[in-house]
Amino acid sequence: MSEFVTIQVGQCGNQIGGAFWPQILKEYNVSIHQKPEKRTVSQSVSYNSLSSFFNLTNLSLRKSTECMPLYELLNNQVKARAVCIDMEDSVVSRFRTGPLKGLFDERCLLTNYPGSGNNWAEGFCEHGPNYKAKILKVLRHVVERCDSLHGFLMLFSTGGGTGSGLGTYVLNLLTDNYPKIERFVSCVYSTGTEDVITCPYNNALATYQLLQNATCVFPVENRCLLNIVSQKCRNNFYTKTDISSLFKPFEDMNNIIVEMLLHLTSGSRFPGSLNFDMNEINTNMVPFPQMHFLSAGFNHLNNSCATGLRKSSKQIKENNFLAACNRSNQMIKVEPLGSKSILLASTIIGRGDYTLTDLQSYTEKLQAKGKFTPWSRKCVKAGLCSVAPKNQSSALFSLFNTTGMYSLFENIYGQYNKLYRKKAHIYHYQKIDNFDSELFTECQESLLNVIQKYKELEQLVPVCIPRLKPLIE
Amino acid sequence: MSLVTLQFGQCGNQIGHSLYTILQEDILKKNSDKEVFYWEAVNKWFNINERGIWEPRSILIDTETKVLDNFKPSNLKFTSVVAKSIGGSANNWAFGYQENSKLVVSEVLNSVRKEIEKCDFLTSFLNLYSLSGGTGSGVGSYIIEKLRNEYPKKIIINCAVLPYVKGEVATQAYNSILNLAHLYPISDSTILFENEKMLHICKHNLGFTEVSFSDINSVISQQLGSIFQPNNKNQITTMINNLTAHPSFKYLQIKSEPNIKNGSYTFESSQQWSYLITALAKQSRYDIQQINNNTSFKHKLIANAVITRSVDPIPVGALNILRDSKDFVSWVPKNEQFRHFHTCREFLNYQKYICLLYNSNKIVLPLNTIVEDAWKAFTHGAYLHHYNKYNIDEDWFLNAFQAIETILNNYNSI
Repeated sequence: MSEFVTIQVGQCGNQIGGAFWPQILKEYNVSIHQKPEKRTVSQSVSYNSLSSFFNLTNLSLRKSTECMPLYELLNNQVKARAVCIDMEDSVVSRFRTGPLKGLFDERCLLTNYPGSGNNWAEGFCEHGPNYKAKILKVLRHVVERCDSLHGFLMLFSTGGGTGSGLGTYVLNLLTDNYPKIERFVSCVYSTGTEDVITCPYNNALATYQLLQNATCVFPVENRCLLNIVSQKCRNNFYTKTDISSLFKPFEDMNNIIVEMLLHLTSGSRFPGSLNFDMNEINTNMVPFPQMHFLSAGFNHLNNSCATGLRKSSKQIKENNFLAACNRSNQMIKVEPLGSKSILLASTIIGRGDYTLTDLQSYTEKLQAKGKFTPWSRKCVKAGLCSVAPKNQSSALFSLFNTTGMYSLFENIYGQYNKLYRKKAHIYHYQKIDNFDSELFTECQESLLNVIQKYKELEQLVPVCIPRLKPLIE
Repeated sequence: MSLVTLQFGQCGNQIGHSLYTILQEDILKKNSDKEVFYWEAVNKWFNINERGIWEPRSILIDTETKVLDNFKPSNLKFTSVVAKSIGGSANNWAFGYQENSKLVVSEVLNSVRKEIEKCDFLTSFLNLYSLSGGTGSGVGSYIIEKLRNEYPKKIIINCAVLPYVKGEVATQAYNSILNLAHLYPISDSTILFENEKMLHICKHNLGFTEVSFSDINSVISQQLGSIFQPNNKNQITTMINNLTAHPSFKYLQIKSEPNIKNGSYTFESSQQWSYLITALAKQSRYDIQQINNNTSFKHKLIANAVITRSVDPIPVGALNILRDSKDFVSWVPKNEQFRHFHTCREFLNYQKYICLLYNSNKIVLPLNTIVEDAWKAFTHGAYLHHYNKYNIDEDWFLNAFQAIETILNNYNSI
C-alpha cells in the first residue's frame, strides 16, 4: 500500500487538516465519537488501507475487519502520518486537546510564537532557515516510519505569511532531501477575497516556488469556494434542513477542499478494478514540465437531497459526470469545456458503482465536447475505485489540465504588478535579512514564462513530421 | 509437459486469476476419459501439494499489493507471489523498466527456478500483461528479457492486451510502442488481444449491458484455456512454429465460437459444427467496421490453427472453408498453412467449442492507430520528460518507432 505524509502549514493548512482527518476516518467507518457506526456490507473496507495515511505499528490490526471507535485505534498506537507546522499556537493546539487528541504524534507538531506577519519573506527567509534543523528532524522521524513512502501531500494557503512562506520553504527542503518522492500541493488562493494588503506579493512569490518544486499542484480559489458554498446554501434552503448549517462559510469551504482531497487520494487508499494511483497523476496529467497546475471538479450537491426526486442510479451517475465537468464545480475559475480552454489532459475517476462501460461513454462524451491539441485527444486517464464516499452511492472526480489555467497566473501577475509598479510595501520584504530582491524579478519572469507557455499551446500549430520509414533489409 | 505463467501488473494478474479458475473448473468437470486427460492437464498447469491443494504453476508479479489482496479466496493457492508494495509504476514504461523491475527481478527469477524444479518437463513460458500501464508493460519487458537470457531454448509466448483506442491512460501509446518494440525480437510469438474487440463481444454477443473487467477477462481466459489445454497432438511447439513461420511475423490473434449469452446455452445446444465453422470463417462485425474504415486494406493470412473440443467428431470436409481460404499467402506450403487439433472432450460447459489462432495482417489496423497516436505526441514533445527522467531518451524512442514501423511494413507488404 502506498503511503503518504501530510504536511499542514499555517493557519489555513491546519484548519483544512483539522477537517480532513475526521472525514478520512469516517471513510474507514471509524467514528471519532465513542459509539462505532453501523457497518454496511457494501462498503466493507479493510483496515489494511488505513496504512496509507496512518502509522499502524500494531500489525494484528491489519487483519481485523471489525469497526472500531477512535479511542480503540489510538490504544493500538495508530497515529496520523502528519506534520503540523504553524508559527502560531492557536490552531495546532486544538489537535492537542480537541476530539482528535492523541491522533497526532506530539513530536510532529511544530509551533512558535508570534506568526509571520503576513509576510512571505518572513516565513521563507527567516523562519525557514531558523527552523530548518527542527523541520528536517520531524520529517525524518515521519519518513522513517514508512514502508513505502509514496508522496507528500502539502496543505497551505498562499496569501498569508506562514503557510505561503514557510510552506514553500518546506517544499524546497523536500525537493532537496527527498528528490524521488512526489510532492503534491493543495493550496488555497485567496483571489476575490484578499484580506491582506501584501497578499498579491505572497501569492506571486509562493506560486514561483510551486512552479519550481512541486510535482503537482491542485490550486483552490476562494472565490470558487464561495460560489459553491452559496450554491449549496441555496439548495439547502429549498430543501429545508437545519438553518444553522447555512451559515458556516469557513467550515463549509474547508469541507469542500477536504472532499477534493478525499477523492484525490481515494485511488491510493482503496482498491478498484481499474486501479488508479496518485503517482499516475503526474505521468498522465503533466505533458510538459512546469505545467502541473490541475483543476479538480466534482459534484458538490448530494443528489439524494438535492432534488427531492428519486433518480435512477444511471441518472445520478450521469449527473455526477456532467457536474464534474461544469465550470461552476471547478476549484479554480476555468471552464474545462469552454471555448477558451484547450485540454491537455484529463482524468475521470469513478467511485462506487461505476462500471467500465460508464467510463467509456463519459470518455467519448468528453472527447466530443472538449477542445484538444493535436495529440491530447486520447490523453484521458480513467480510473475506478470500488469504495464510494460516505453516504453516497457513487461519485465522480475529474482533473483537468487546461490552457485556461493561464487566467489564474495572469490574475496573480496582474495583482502583483499593480503593487510592484508603485513599489508599494516592498520594504516589508526588503528589511528581512536573507531576502534577495532578485526574487521579485525572477518570480515575475517565471510567471510570464508560464503564461507564455500556455498561450503557445493554445495557438499550437500542429507539427507534421511524416512517420519513420521502415528499415528494409 | 508443463507451462509456467508469469502474470504482470493489474491486468495480467486479473487475467491469470481468471484463467486458472477456468482451467481448474474445466479439469475437475465430470468426464468419460478422465484419467489420461486429467493428469495431463493437471501436470501442465498445476502442482498439487501434499495436502491436495492445487498450486498454479504461475508467478504473480506486481508493484502494488492492493490488487492482489483483492482477490477472493478460492480453492487455488498461488504460491509464488512477488508483489512489492512500491506503489505502482506510474503508468510509465520507463519507470517500470528502469527502476521497479530491478527491485523484483532476482526474486522473480528465483521463483521461476523454483516453479521449474517442480515441473517434470517445461515446454514454454506464458506471459500475461497489458500494454497500456507501467508495471505490466515496463517490468514485464525487463523480466522477459532476463527470462530469455536465462532460458534461451524455451518458447516464450506473450499475451498482451492492447489499450482502448479511445484512451484509458495518457501515455498508453508510448508504453505500448516501447514494450512491443522491446519484446519483438526476444519472444517467439505474441498473442494480441484488442480490448475493444473483447468489449464488443461482451456487449453484442454475450449481451451484457454493463461490461466489467471480469467479463472481458473471462472471455480472454476462455480463449487461452481452449488453446493451451492439452490436445491429442499436444504440441505447443509445433503449433507456434507453424503459426510463426517467418521471424518477421510473430503476432497472433484469437477468434472463438460460440459466444452466447450466459445461461441461454441450454437452448442452443443443437448447434452444428457447420454453423460454428461458418461463423468463425466470417469476418466478425467488429472486424468489418475496422476494415471499412480503412478501404485500402486487403486481408492476408499467413497461417491458421484450429482447435476444436467436443465429443462429436467433425464431419469430413467441414473445415474446408477455413482450409481453402483465398487469403493465404503463397509462400507458405499448403500443409503448413492450416493445422487442425481436435480433442475428444468438451471444454467447460460447451458441447462444441472451436477456436482459431491466426497470424494475419489484420493486426496492422490496431497497431497503426497506436503508432499514429504515439508519433503525434512524440513530435510535439509531450510527456517525454517523464521518460527522460529514467534515461529513456529520444533515440530510444526513435529506435522503437523504427522497429514497429518495420514490423507494420512487413505485414503490409505480404
